[in-house]
Amino acid sequence: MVDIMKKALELASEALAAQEVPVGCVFTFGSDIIAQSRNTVNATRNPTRHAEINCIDTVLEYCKLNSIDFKAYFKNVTVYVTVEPCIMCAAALNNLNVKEVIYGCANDRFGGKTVLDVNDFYEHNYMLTGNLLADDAMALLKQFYKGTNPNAPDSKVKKQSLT
Amino acid sequence: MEITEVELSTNEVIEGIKQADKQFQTGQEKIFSVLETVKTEDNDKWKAEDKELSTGEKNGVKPQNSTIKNKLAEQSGELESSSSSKRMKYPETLESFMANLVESKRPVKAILSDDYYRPMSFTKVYVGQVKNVKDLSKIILLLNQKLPLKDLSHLKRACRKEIILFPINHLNCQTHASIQYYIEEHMNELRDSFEYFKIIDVPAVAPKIRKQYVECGRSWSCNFHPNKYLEKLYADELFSPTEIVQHRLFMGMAFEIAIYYMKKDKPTLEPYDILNANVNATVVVDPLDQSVVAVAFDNRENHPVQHSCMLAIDNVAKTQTGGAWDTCDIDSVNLRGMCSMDLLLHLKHKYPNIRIGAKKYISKSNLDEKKLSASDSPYLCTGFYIYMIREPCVMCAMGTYINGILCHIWNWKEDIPCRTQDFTLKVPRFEVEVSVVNGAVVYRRREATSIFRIDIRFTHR
Repeated sequence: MVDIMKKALELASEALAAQEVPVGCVFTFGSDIIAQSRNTVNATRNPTRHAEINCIDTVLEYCKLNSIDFKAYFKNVTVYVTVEPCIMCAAALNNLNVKEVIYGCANDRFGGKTVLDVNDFYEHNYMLTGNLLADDAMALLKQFYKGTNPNAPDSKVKKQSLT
Repeated sequence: MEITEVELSTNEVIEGIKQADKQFQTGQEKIFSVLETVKTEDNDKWKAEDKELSTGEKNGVKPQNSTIKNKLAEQSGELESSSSSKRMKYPETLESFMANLVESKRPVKAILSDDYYRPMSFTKVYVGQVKNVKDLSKIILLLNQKLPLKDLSHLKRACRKEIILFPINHLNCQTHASIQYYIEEHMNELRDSFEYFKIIDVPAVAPKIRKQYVECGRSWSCNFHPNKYLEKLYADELFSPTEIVQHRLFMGMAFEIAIYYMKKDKPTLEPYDILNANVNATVVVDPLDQSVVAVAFDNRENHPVQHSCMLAIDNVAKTQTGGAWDTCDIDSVNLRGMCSMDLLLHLKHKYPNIRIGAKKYISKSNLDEKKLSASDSPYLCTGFYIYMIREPCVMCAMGTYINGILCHIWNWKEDIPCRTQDFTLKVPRFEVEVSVVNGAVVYRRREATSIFRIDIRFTHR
């Protein structure tokens, strides 16, 4: 478990190096790693490209290529992610009926449990465990938020004076 | 929603109230109470019909007894009034359905948090009747110093000759002698200031809109700064009739997209088929130049994340040289949001007067180089409006939220909706304000504590 989370943290560091929000994610099926990814929000200019969504895409692609029924397949998938899945990702994972989600640090801004308990909206809920190597995950985030987002428009103070 | 029906029930309620209840003092009060009653009545009606109409759960959502579901059903009862009874009676042909949708003059309904519709909640406090009015300001000063109101800072300290001392849970023992003892012990100067003490109800939270302010005023005066924008939202007056015509046109386009795709499988498509199918269609519009930036139709059966909304968001990213899903066969960057060439031509043919295409994307470094301001290039979906044939699910709602989508406009309510305000209130980061200045929609992001993002639905035909 710790090993897989370390793998996810590696992916998060990779994201940080690419000036993305440092979140990494690994999907496992039994003892096999079936998908691994990180945030690609800035690269795709699509803020919904979180690590979890990228992994879901990988698994769906794999299922399609091998004619596997993804609905049954996802029921045995465990998700390791360095930061608590956001509301959107939590909803997506709920929708897919994944077996379990294990995260590093909590997400007090957008967390799918901390901010809004997404499980309330779905019938089949996954098991959720947190606080695995949380400090490492948090340290990466802190490092990221020290810098600035290279793609963001200028501050709203300027913007307001324009309008 | 049939207006006549609502009027009828309002009249009935007014009659009932006139006979039964004499304690209303002003006309205004009467109106508010009538509204509340009508809402409650409709709630019950809605709940009853909801049970009848419930067609089973989609997407593995929780059954009826879930608390959120009930809460939301109550909310929507208020909003939807008696419309659900008309759900089944759609016009027979697609043409008449579309005509009704686009040409209807019915208002669009802004969906606000539950807090705006609920009656105010109250809390109990001790007040003291001051013996000499001249001492009032001195006592207030001293009390504010020694016993600040903290959670109740929205209340005025004094009202007429009464002064709030503290919430009742401040003292363990609730007798008048104990209050006098407490005052003598902690603020001996005020030993002889009060005639008597009593417990009264005061508003527990600050009023957000004028209706609530008036409601509060009956028990105790509050500090209140009216927010014009919220008032407009509450009264459904945010958009002018011309803007609503535009909204309906784009909503028509969202349906047109659904029809375009669904007709491929079923040439004899009826409106009821769209209602029954578990699909959504999305149109993303830049309100600044009223042009369609991206559209999308659901692919959730094959790819459970590719709800139309998520696809549309990715299509917007494609117009900004990004995008993750390979779903488009158009070369031109500013038209890449349109899914396919066939659909683009179809929509151009159906809507010759609607502008289609995204504004040119300029990267941050190019902006700086050419000394342009950030507003010269689109950034994600910031400020865009999104039109969907049905309410977005939790995933999609959050997806649009982190994208800076300004306004959701949708037609059909979902069984298990995720009202965006459920988390807009909890995620106070990307609050956006929209205002209409000289006919142009102006938006700006702001960090506010109250809800500004709007979620809007059409009332039924």
